[in-house]
Amino acid sequence: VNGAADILIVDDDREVSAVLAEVLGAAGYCVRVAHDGDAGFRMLGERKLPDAMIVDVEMPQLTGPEMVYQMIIADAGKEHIPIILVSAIVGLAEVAKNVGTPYFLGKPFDIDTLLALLDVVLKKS
Amino acid sequence: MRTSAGNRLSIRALSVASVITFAALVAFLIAVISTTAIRASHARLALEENTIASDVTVGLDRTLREYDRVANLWLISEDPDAQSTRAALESDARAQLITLQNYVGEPVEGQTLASLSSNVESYFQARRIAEAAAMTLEQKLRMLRPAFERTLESSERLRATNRADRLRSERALEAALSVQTRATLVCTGLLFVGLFAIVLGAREWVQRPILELQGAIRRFANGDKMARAKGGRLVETKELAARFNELTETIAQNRRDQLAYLAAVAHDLRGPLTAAKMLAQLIERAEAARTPASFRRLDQQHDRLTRMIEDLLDAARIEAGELELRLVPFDAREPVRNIAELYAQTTATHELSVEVPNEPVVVLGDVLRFEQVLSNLLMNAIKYSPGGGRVGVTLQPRAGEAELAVSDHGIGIAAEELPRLFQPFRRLARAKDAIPGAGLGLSSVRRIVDAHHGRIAVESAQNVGTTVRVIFPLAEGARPSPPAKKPDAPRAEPR
Repeated sequence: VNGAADILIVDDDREVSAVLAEVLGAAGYCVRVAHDGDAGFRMLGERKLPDAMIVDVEMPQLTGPEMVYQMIIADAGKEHIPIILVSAIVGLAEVAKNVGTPYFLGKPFDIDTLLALLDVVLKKS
Repeated sequence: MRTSAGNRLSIRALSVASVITFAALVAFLIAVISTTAIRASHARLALEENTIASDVTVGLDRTLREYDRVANLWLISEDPDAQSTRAALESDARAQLITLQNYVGEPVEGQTLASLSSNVESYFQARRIAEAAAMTLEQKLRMLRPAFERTLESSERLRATNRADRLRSERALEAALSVQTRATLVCTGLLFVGLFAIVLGAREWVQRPILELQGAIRRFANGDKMARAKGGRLVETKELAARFNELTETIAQNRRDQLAYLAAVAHDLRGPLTAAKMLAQLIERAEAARTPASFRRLDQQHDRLTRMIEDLLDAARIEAGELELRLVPFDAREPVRNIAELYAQTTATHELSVEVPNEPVVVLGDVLRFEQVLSNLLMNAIKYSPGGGRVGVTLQPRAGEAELAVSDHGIGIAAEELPRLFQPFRRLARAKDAIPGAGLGLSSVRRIVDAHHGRIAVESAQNVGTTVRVIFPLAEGARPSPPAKKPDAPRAEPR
């Protein structure tokens, strides 16, 4: 049903992002991967905007929250992309609140939980 | 915690001031008591002399009257006994006059005594003239009467002078005693007031702050981490409280650092954990994922976790001071090249340049620890230059030592962060929210370098870059090592 949904993963842990891309690819999503906030933000301009983003918090260059602020400043639709914050940091809920997204998932997480959450996010938008 | 120059009230100053005040009071009291005592004793002496003088004067009066009676008796009876008694009385009177000379005080008294003496002498003279004269007894007696009256009169005058003198002496004694009593009372009162003030001051300014500090220490020991002491008003108690507050602040800061460090460690451990969990779930549900390659990737994540935990335990051991070195002479160029190559593969944005001399640099040290030091420095250089750029590694012998330098063009370190750079569990304030990783690195590096009797120095400018220099000792026998071949490039010459 959501086969065409385009997901952008931004995570500096290469292994985590690779497995995540595989998992989402197996679930039928179209997936792109960036390894830091700066690359992720640049990737937004390359093609049509993704339907949702899975974003880590602590990353070099631009952190997850910093990237989200850039997106809000840039607007042109970028500010409307739903974001799932994914991190192992303490106080993730607080960070998500500051960033302005209701979706967040603490590492490590279940694939089922992530897929269910992604489903909800895509249906809403 | 410096107190302002206007408020340097210290226990030392107060005790010196009170000792001086008390000494002055006691000295004043002693002076007053001794001077009044001297005056009183003078007055007492004068009183005594007066008493003797008036006794002698009364005696003289009696002697003169007796002499007059005996002399008159002799005129009548011509009794030889009376004559000898009269001579004795005459010399008695003279002796008493001489005695009185000793007690003359005032000039008036002297004049009175002189006129008494001359009156007495002229009476004796008159006696002798009258006795030799051819007159009737009655004529003789009448002739003698006026001289005797005059003598008695002047004796009476002397007694009056003596009485006045005595009165004066009594008054002087009384006055001296009353001054002494009053001065003693006032000084004793002042001493007591001073003592009372000292006791009150000690309670308020010394005892109370100390009890407060004691209470703060007890509260802190019982778990109130916010317990702080107030210093009171004196320099010493302020200092005590400030030291205690600094100490509790340091302890609190250490706790916060350790908690933050634990959180960072947990964060880092969850990376491979997440990858492993997802891989396992993927293998479980996707037929296509059940390949040997997937299982190998799963295994790699476990290796990554194991390595991280080993590093963590190693760092903890180093921090605890349990660092055992296997010192062997080795050519440091080899590990430098190897480690740099290893790290060059981990980054695409950085350009790693390695400079080593052509002849061996033989260091006496633990190869593994040496590699750890370089790894830490390279990791930091890459981590803290997120924009990429050149990362330089140079190794060169320098004045009998080996200098290993790692430089980057990264975010740099603020001057206020530099002193705390080597504290355990600390990460740079700016790096905290931007760059993942534990902060044990530099602290461990320093401990390893210290254990080698080496040195470490950091130069850094914010947004320009950082250079860390580590000095290791060269192996003794290998220092004058004959160069295997001539260096073909002008670099790394020891000077």
